Amino acid sequence: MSGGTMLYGGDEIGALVFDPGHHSLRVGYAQEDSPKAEIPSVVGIGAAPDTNLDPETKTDNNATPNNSDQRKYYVDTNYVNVPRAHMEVQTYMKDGMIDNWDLFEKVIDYAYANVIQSEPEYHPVLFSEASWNVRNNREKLTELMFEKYNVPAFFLVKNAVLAAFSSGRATALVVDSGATHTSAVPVHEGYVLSQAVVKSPLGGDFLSRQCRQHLEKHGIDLSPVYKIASKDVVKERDNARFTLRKLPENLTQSWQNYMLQLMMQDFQMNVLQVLEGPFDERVAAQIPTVHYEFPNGYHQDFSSERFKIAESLFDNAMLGAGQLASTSVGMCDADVRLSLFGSVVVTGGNTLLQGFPERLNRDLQLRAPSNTRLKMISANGSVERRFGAWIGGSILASIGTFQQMWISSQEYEEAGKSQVERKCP
Amino acid sequence: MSWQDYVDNQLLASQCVTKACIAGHDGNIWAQSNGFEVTKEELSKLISGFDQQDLLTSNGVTLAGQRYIYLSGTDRVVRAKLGRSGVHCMKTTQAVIVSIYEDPVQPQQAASVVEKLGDYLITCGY
Repeated sequence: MSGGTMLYGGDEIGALVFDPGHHSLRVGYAQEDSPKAEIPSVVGIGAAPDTNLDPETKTDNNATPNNSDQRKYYVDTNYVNVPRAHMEVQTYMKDGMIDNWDLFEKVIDYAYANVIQSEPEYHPVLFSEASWNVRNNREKLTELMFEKYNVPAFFLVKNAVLAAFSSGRATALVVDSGATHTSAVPVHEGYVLSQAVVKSPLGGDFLSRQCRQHLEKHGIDLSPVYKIASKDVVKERDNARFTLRKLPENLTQSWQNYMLQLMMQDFQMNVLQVLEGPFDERVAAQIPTVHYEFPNGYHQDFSSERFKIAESLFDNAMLGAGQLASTSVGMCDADVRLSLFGSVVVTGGNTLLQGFPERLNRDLQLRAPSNTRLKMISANGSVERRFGAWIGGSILASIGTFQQMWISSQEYEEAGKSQVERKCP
Repeated sequence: MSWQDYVDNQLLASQCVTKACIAGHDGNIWAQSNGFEVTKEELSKLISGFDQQDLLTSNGVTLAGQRYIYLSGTDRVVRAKLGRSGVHCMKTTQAVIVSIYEDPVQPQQAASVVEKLGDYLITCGY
């Protein structure tokens, strides 16, 4: 290849790996073992500037009308989590795919400016995508990266394939439970068997909503941290006593919901657990309780309800995690089924729920044909599970044989954006 | 150029394809590379699979007696694999290009070659 800006050779690759998801965008350098940054997948949109111009300033007779480009955008935790009047919080992801391209561009700009701190034209870029991504989105992303950011090379890989790679396998059944979806995707020799992909909308966000409903039903006051100026120590299950912080007016509903969701996620991470078998009130009551204190000072022990809430991920007849996995394998060619059962990769942040892999193992064992050897691979560290796809991308982008597979800017110029359909199956 | 030329000088010569064949939509073979013993029945099954993916997903793609595992496809392209070798097929206006690639050729290389030829044939009306 005669492209001048492409660098080959082991140490000089400098490729970037982007892994967009509903919870966050993971971005970092290839060859490293974890992403440099995890940027939440939301953007704070400031109020449109006032259309009443100061009468003192001289204006042109043909002044340009105010358009939404004048609004301020806030990206990343330090900027979004600050209470600001009129700031709406919006996500750019939908259904596992990038939906709002303007907001997405703002996040990529932020990533290059603050995380990578380098010009886009010097680094080949590897993007992960949903296993059910549509052609339109793939071509749009390719076009965006080459036209706007002038990247020297680009490649798109399905995140299930990357998750399998990060566990050192090219053939696996990838069960990915994330914020908005849980999916079972069979990967064979590095290729997704797209007709057998099964997904359900039960994910981390669903559990957060369940937690919120449960707590509100029990009359527990849910005031996130930003509202609390100071709190008093109270006895267990006593009403909280706290003083409200002075906040700006006109805080938007979307921002408040977002902050509440963050608080629910903290509760969910610390309290919820899944039983090894189907939910049984007596069994659940025997397991030691977990104590949790809310930001406003209220605290109590949680016992069987924490299993009941988490159970909703598994007990659904069609959408339960075990059912998803077995349906997916059932839709595959008979020859590959055995190898798929023999390597089930569990990935995604929501699988860090205590007891998830064990319960999935049991459910799958029940549904698999009687003498199949079932093997589950679930990384122990939280970093490997949450960033599974990113780590796979980091591995892939550093392999020598992969360097010939990039779509170079020259190829893009010759063949156009449909090249992505050919080169990135 | 004759159809056999297309197979030998375009597909095989690229070094990205080890065996290939060009056939009509009815399964009639227009040209095939040396030693590639694909039958009309296998091709007919493959061609109906372009429109009805379910036929291929459960039974795979059988060519020259070898059964490949179906990976993915659209109404224009069918991809299948078995170990290190694989199949990439493209449907044009009147024909079907079938190609087999083996290690160390990457699927993308075979795909590029086959689809470039396919797009060219479509512009010619074939």
